[in-house]
Amino acid sequence: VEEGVGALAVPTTATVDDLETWWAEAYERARPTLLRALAASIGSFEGVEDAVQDAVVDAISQGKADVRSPEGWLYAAALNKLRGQRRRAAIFARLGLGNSTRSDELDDALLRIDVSRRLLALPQRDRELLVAKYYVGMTQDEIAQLLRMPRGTVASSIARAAAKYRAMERSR
Amino acid sequence: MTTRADHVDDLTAEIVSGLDLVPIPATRPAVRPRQRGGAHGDLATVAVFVLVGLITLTIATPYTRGVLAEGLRQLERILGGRSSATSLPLGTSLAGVRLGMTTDDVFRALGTPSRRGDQGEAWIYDRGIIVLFSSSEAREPSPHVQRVVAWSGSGARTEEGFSLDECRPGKTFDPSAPGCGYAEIRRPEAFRERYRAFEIEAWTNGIATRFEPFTILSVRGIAPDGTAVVLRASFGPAAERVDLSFSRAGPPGPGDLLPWQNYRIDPFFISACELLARAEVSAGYGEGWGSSNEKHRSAPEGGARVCSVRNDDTGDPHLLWHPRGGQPHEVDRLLNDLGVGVPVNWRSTGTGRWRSDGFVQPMAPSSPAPSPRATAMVAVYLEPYFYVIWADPDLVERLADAVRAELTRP
Repeated sequence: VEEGVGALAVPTTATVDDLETWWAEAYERARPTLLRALAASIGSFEGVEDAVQDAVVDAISQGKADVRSPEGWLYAAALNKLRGQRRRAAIFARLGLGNSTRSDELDDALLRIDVSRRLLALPQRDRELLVAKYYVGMTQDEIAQLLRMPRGTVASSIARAAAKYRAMERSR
Repeated sequence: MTTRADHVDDLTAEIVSGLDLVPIPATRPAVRPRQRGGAHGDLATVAVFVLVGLITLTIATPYTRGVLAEGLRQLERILGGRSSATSLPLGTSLAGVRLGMTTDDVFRALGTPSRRGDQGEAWIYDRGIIVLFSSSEAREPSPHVQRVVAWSGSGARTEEGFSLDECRPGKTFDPSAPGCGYAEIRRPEAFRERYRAFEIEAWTNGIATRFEPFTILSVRGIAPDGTAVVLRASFGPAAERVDLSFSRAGPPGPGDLLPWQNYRIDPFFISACELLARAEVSAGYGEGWGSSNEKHRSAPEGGARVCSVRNDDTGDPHLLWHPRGGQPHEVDRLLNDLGVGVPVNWRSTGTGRWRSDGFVQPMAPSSPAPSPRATAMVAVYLEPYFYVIWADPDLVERLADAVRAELTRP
């Protein structure tokens, strides 16, 4: 994993410019991890870059200065946006207005890699948890807070997801 | 015996090592920290839901059909008033998702035969419309074409049997013979005679390896003395650096490099944008423009700049423009009429991002834009490798002048 950006939180006394700079740097550093994490979570790169950038913009516009793990925050925020996009896309598709069948080489590559292929075979929530925990490196508290799960179920949910992943691995 | 900790560590290592192999888009667009597009984005979202709601409630009602028909009429107008609107799929062209036209559709709309596998061409249509095809489609000129500007093509996708796997970054660029990533852009002789074209022939050194970007783009102009002028774009191995240069008498050699930052840019647009930039500069509109946002931000106030950049392998373009003109200018109307996005009142140095969901994401909140010539160009993203650029005819003239000047530069 790329070096995390969460080790340093932006100073709470930062100016707006400081904040922008800090988030921009966080984005630069976290981008590879975030793109891969999000693509693995949703199964496609489509819209991922936009979602990450939008998340950064949100962080800045909301004056987020107290985020301990920007990487986790961006992952969760972007994931949320992507879910919304996909819901809308599904609506459009049902109405015959969408073009949701596009596939590109990056998405194809995603399926050629064992780990991501296995992840994509899991229910979305499970893979989101595994990616958040094992790839993005979010703590259980962060997962609970940012992915909006009851704190008490995070550990067991992750364990179940991991077990499914392992079972899938063994069944190959 | 495997402990839980071991298990977790194993899983971490496995997932990390696995996902780290996943290629990511080569583009690394700089984040635009000054972006304050939230309100517009929200509006856009609301607009979509309203529209979806309307469609849901009134599918096939006269109202819906009217909206669709109006969108198509607008498109027809944009495409020179010659489109066969009925050939265009209604689907995604409205509702703010995508225009949803295939290149074939557009060709039909333009009355031009579509010939998949042929080289791409770029045309300036009357009404200042440029249509770019960066690969395939239509060798024969449309009778509507007024002037040829540039050609582009990607050898890896020609009929000449190139293999993507053969195209490696750094492979020698050889315009004299077909080969890896080489595509000679054929220009019908009729074009040469009919249109007062400056000649630009483009080669690309491939779409390159599977996830590698273009390594070299050359746009070769033939100067009146018969020598070549080459506009070269070379890409770093990680596609995070693009240099442009003009040099005399290709094949490409060292030239005056203009650094481009951290972008994977559709090479065709590099050429087109660079030429346009030069045209603008030559017309005295200032310097500092580029396709990167950094440069964009540094552009002087009042500079009219538009360029669309396809920013990564997903094909999502960034739409950048610097409207100088009054509002709602034509592009706004166009986009609104098509139900695409909510671009209004762009700040004079504002930029917009053409999002993958079809909306233009304003980079900056609006302030009135001053003059009707504002949006000299706008690129409407239709699908990867296809763009329609709407150009201010004056800009086109300046473009032509700039290129001619370049071609005749001692």
